[in-house]
Amino acid sequence: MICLPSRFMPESIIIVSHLVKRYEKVTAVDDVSFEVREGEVFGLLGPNGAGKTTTLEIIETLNKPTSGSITVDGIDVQTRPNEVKPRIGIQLQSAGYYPYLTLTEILGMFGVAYGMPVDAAQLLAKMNLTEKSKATYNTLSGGQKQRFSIATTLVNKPRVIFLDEPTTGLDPQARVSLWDVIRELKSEGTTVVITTHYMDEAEKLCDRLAIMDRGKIIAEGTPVELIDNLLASGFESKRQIQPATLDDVFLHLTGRSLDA
Amino acid sequence: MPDRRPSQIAIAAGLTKYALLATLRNKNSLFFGLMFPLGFVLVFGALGGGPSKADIGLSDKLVASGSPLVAVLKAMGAKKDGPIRLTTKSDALLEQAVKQGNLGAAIEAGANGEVVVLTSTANPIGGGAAAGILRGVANEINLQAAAGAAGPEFKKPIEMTSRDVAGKELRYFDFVLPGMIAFSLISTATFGVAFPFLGLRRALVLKRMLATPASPLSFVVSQCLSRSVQAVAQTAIIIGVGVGLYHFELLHGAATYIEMLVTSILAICAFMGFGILLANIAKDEQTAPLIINMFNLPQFLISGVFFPTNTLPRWIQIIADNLPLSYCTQALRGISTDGKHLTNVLPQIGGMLAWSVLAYVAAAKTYRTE
Repeated sequence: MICLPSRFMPESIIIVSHLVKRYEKVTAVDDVSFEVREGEVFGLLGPNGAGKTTTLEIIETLNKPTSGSITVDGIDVQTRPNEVKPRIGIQLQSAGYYPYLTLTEILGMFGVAYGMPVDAAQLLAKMNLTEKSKATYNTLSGGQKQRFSIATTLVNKPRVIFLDEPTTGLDPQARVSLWDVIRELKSEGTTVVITTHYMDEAEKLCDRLAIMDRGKIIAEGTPVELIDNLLASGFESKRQIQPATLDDVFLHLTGRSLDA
Repeated sequence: MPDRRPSQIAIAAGLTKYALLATLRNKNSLFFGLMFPLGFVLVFGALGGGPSKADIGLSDKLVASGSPLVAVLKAMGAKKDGPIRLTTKSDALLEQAVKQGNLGAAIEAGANGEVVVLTSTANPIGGGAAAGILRGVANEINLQAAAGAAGPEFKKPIEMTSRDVAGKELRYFDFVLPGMIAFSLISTATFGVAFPFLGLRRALVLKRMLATPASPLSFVVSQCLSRSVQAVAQTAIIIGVGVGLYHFELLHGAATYIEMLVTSILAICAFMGFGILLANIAKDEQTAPLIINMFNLPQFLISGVFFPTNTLPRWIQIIADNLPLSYCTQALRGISTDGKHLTNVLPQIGGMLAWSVLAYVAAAKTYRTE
């Protein structure tokens, strides 16, 4: 698979080029280059400690790279971070929210931070959280928390949203409901960058993905391409491909509920 | 694409509303900031019983002059169940002791042979009793002298004048109430700021805010403003309770009230630097109480919140008078008990702000979002 240089791909909304992040002893991100195209769901996969979160944080203006360049929507992240911020929505891994505030109020607060009016009711409705509008974040279930997190990333009507392991720790229904949310965002034209440990999730959700390990990208492409490449190398799955999985059994029996 | 960064002032103002909502719903912060100091105020107000004996100071010069009044007083003081307790000191020390309310009243020799009764209402109960006893004794001696019943040394009537060495009635309650306000302010600024900040840091709210166009400064300013509202409300309530229940006197009425509230806003803004700094130093919410108490407790003890610092050894006093909390206590007390105005307590306000500059610089250097 050939990746064209960035200047020939004007539809790329994120261009990461030779990104390096070195801490005192560890190189967390080691010469990473990839591009995310506008309107796609892009997956960043890899084991814990692979450098996914660090890479995302650098793109999100929250962390400074040691070297390399990153542009978001054509804007250089290092020199013009304040112009990148309004264009992106981010969900941090295992983030909480302001205690003592209701969901409606938290969304209002984010609206203030972005200097934009917020239709909290509409955002909550979109995430199927209307009845929780007066609840505080800590009283939500795992799935509700993640859906609310996504609602907060949409406050500023961003071009790109970053979701860092949004489905970790969720039960199957909650995961499926979150996938629906992500697909809906994609259908509205929002670019989604997502990290995950779950390969089935990446396969079902991502248009393209990059696999990171020890700070490097070791594979990149569409899920089908990556699987084809593997099979082309003579790989054979030890298991027979089943027409249904245990996930399907569970979901079939318990119902695909959004209330999880 | 046009730059659509919003104004930081609008952001800070908007965020203040939400910070305030969260603050008012935070029971811990209200407890430390209001209920605790208010509890002290109520206890001290209720404790205001009078001493059993009137403490009267005698001027060493008057004693040396062989005043007949001294002889009578000494006889009274020598009685075990007598109404007075005597102390002999130099004039300067006497005046100081009366001002501080350590003595109810004192007598010294006047320039023209008269006896001058020094009173201050720093110790109103003891003071009233002592002055009353002194006048009663002098009148008695004069009456007996006029009737020829007293000895020859009493031929010349005792002339008694009085001099007030402090401007107003000062009770311990009047002394301790501004201290309690200062206590409330520093508690709000440390416990009421460090804990929520730690919580926001743990929940990655600080980090998440960093990814918005809101600058960290706007966020901190919004926190300061919301705590200022809280601080003003607490000060207003504490003064209100003091005035309503225990006749705390506002010397210049509304002006004193407003000046105390303004001082409270300045103090909370100054102290919040320490709150944020302590939150930065603390590893998590478990270690925070220790670090906060290490900062607060010594100040509670020696900054003149509960008792005057001039009773402390000299070297401690130098430290005790220059702590952040000391400046706040001095400024509030200057306004409330000495009837000073804000312009008269500028040195104390300056001291507070100097500390706050240090605190904010250190807080900015150690600011972390995770």
